[in-house]
Amino acid sequence: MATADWCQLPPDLLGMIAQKLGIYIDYLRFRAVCLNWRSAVPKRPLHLPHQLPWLMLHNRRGRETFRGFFSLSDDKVHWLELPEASRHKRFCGSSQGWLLVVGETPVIALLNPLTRAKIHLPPLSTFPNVLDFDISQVGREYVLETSSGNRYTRNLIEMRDRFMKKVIVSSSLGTSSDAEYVILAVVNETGDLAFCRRGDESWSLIAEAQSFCEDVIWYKGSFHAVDKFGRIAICDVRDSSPVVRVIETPRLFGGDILYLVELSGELFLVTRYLELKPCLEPDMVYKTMRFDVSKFDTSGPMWTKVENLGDYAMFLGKNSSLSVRASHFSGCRSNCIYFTDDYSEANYEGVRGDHDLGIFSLGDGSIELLPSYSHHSRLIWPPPLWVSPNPL
Amino acid sequence: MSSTKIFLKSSDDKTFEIDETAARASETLKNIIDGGCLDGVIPLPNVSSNILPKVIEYCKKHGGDNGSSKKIANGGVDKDKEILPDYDEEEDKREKVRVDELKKWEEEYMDFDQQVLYDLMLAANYLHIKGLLDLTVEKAASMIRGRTPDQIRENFNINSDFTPEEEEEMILIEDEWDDEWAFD
Repeated sequence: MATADWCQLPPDLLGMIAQKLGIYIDYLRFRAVCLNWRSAVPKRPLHLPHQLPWLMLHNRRGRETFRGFFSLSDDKVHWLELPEASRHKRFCGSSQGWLLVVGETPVIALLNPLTRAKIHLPPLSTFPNVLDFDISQVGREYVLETSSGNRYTRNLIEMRDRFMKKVIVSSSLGTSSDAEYVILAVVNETGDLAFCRRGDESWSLIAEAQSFCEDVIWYKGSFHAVDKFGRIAICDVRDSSPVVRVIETPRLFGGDILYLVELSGELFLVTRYLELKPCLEPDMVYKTMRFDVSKFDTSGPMWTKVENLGDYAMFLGKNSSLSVRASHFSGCRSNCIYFTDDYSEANYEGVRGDHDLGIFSLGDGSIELLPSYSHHSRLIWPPPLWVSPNPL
Repeated sequence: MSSTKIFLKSSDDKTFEIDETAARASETLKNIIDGGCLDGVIPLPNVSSNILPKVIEYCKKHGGDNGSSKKIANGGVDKDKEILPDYDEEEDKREKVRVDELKKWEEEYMDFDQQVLYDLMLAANYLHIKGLLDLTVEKAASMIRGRTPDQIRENFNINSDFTPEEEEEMILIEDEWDDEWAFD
């Protein structure tokens, strides 16, 4: 009998094997085995599910172009060279592996820290609620307008640090040069949702979805936004005038921050509860006490509380909220919520303390620090951020 | 239950017997049977007598068992959705016992070296036995996960055929990765 020649296995079988590899590094190594294996599968692993997010930390001291990434899988901090991530830049959220980079100019861009690919977005000065930008007006470079028509000014630093709360990418950004995509931004100050499509030169507001700014996710082909009472606005932005459909649910009260999460194809709502805690007397800082999780029940429609996430873990913070199957990744615990600090300013007015981040276990309601994170928990602005490695 | 017998001839001219219901686990055999060309023996020029009994063993276990065998074939759990236990509890228990029993059987069945794995995968592909193909592909993937290219080559007895330049590039990929991880 002929000896098995794995190198010459037919390409369709090699493709099937590669499809079973759920982690990017395994895929890379598969392609490094022999020529035939390499040519049998595409360079970009289109099948890969969400990767386990990394926690993006601060710049490396002494090597400012390096940025720390904490990996749960091997419980270590690693350093990626990322000159785009200088100390003067801010990351206003991450979505599908892309970071929104904002600096001390109106220029904003999406950056993939793994590939260092960059996509420029319409500048800050093109948001409809930004009336004017004039670099010569030092200290009040931007003129903004509230929805009720009041004008006020902001300087470069304030715009960089506070204007954007979060950014959400529609889907498959960067997979091909002609891919259509929509980017949605949650505007911190006014509670507006703004979007731009590929090729747009300015941002457009979704006027009907104002105040639906607690959290937004891309879910089943449209943006789903939630307000602080748990009502959902489904925003279809395929045409130039967005179509918004609001789903009324029995109002939720209590809790401080809401998140929308897709889990196993269904919509979940997570409520985060904060409390003021003493920290280096007489200062007080906010700390997360617990989370409640509800599942969307279309028959209500209403939110129904759930006690258990099964094999799933959620990652919440300034990132686009997401869930992963814990058993698919080493170092990831099921039935847990991994959270970071995304309500920022309140804690940082001269107050020293740790960032409010950790792992909440739905099983026993406990909160613990991320493993190995404690010696990196010096108060450094900005707080860490979850970002999913995306090789595309 | 009596069933029509079918005869399969391996590439090295050995004949094996299999029940028709079991043979139907293979799409290829099913088409031949349904096509009515059943006089005599079905020749399988791509499957040797070393591997054919192994294939027949799988078919016997899974033939005529289309309902739940799909679930088992995918490793017992649906990839994306949890199976919600909202049906009869007793039925649920029996189902669980059956799943556990089949998983145990699969574990023992799949205990062989990479040579058999290779032949079995090709046979499953040729005979279109989806469940068996899935099992073999998954076993191959499990021999890749978490390993370096060198370890993978060793597992599958592969010699690297990259040119020195390409080899260099491969090493760079590994280094690049290790670099990313090595600074701390």
